[in-house]
Amino acid sequence: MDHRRSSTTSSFDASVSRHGRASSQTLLSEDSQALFEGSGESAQSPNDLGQGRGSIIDRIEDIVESMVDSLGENQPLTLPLRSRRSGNEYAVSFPSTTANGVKKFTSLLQILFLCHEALVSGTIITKRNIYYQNPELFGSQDYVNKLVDDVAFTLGVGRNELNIVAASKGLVVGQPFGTEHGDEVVVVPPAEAVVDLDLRPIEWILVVEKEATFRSLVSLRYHEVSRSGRGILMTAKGYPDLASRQFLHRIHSTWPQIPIYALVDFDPDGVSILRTYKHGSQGMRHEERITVPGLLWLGVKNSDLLELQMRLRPAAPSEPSNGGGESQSTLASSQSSNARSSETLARYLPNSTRRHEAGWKLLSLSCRDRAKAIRLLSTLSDQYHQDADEMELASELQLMLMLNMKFEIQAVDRAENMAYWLDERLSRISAWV
Amino acid sequence: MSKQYLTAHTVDNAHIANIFAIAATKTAVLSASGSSCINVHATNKEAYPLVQSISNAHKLGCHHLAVSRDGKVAASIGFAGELKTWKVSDTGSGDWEPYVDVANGGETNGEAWALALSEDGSVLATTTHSGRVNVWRLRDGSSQLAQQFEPGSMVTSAFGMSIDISHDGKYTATGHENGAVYIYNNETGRIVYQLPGLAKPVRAVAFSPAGTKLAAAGDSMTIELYDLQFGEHVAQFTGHAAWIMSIDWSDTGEYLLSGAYDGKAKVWSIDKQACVATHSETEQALLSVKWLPKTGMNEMFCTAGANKSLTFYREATGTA
Repeated sequence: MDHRRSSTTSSFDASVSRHGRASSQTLLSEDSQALFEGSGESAQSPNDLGQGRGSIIDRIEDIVESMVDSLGENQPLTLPLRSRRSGNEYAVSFPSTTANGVKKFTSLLQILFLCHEALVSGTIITKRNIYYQNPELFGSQDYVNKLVDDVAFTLGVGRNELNIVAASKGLVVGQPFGTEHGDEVVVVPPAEAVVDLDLRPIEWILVVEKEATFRSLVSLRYHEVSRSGRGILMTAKGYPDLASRQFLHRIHSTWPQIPIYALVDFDPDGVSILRTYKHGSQGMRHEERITVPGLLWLGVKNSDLLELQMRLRPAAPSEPSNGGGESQSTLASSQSSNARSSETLARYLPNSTRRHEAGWKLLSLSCRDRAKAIRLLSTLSDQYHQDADEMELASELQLMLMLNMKFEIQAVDRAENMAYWLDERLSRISAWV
Repeated sequence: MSKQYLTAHTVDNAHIANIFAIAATKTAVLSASGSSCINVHATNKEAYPLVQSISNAHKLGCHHLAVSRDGKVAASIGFAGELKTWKVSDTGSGDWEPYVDVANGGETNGEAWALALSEDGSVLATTTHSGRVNVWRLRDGSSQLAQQFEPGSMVTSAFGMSIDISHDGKYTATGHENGAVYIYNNETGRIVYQLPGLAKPVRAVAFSPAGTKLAAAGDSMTIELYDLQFGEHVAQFTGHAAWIMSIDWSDTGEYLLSGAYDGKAKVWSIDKQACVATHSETEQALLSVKWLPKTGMNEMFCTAGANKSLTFYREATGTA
């Protein structure tokens, strides 16, 4: 017990000094903005939560500070806790005369630590996450659930305001999950459950940014009918929560031969979400086992923009093609071919409906988008040794800014187009990989 | 009649990232890319060697670059919105070095977008995200904000995507995301023309050398030609099948060069109002195309973009 206590407290102390007030402000202002901004569509986004996040952080830090004071004065350490039944506040102290008391104290400290970390880094954790941080200590999920609610009650805030949610917001569908047919959408299971999954029949995993896209692919049963074989579809509804990332990480480390693809919007949030899956959010750099560096970026990229344009162009008039090195002998297109193509072009010029054809939507960047893209770009250029992945991200962001356009994946009625596009893209990328 | 151009040379991987802008002097092509440096390739030497690389010019990369026609002053804008000016060294080395500081006119960072320089480099004009235009006078050692144009309150989403200054420095033209094209008088600060727009983003505007015409192009995939005496729309060039990212007039004003997002470059005869040459060295986007100032017998032009290379073309001799 003693050993456990000291290790927990010291890690908490370390974290407080690491994220001390000054640094937590910085993190709040820069990093967690990503989370705040991008999660508009998720029901459990931090957006809806804590306006008083800063003050909750302060209060947790105050509690710890007072314990540090107690240590200095050689007094017992106490944590305030308000009973939800009676509403009375009592102190959970250490040392304690009972083993239960020690367990409660240690558990509370750990929960406060995790809340603090989640709040400072702007991430969301599940009660399940907390339990798995130290199953030996907590003993049961129920025990965690109860204490988490007690902590929220003590601080006088909703549980969500502690950035703790009941379960992952991630959804997943595929044969290894749910029913025997595997066509039932389930909540992303805890990472620890991955060992029990049989992914042998699975050829690919596709993580999509938006729930709407996910739903339309599910309705097509794309995970079963894809030309690339059986797959798993997953979404974390925007910026991924910790549980979804842990789950994906675990899958990737257990079944490294299964490629994991990401389908995100061609906009700053899409790029940022991709980065979060791949490399984690900056506030969680110290967290291991939550990133998937091998995640493959399927799209949408600027090259897809070009393809869309090409699809919209006339099929008939083929210009004298002068591919590659043969251009020495290339002649110009004649005036007559010009006239012809202009005629046909008029028929094929993109109009608003055509732009939606494949389920895409082309939009101008907003000021916020531009600011965000520039911010992302500067975090990418901060790295001393940009790897190929990051160069690609930077390049896509720059083109996005240059074009001043973003390209969103829409919830389409004609999801077949999306499936067709995915078939094509998956076969191309797997051939390349 | 068509014209024939040959690939004279390609500088492969002139940059490690997409080349967003090139600018030509009589002896060199300056190029700016998604990397932090501005490169200078000599055009008067065999194989177009890299003669200078201005490292750390723009930390996040550079999207717009212009050089004065006299080849003495250059200006560039980086992705963080920072505006820098450059001049050819007085030492005679031919190297480029930092010129005057230009305060961003109170713009917040990231606002300065496209830019243009007058013939002698004494006037610099930039657009902003909000559509405002800033005009500076550059003199030795100092810069002065001379004019600020607002496109007017009725215009929404008027991001200034492209800009040009007439050769005599008297007029500024801007092309906007909403398709609007404006021409301002740099002396009076008034709008001279608000030209019938293209209804889609205008990614390039260019005054003819004599200052009598303006060409505008962009996502409409067409080039629109305006006469500036009365502000009339006089011609439309169709044939590109992708967004037009860049246009440039030849020295004589006889030809227009255009580069599109599908990698195709076209040369248009103003006289014939027709495309006289099409080149597609690459299927990757062309982001900047420029004629080289005429120094020899033959016209030359250079294209650059997402294939990170500089491709030089020379007019074939002996064509009918």
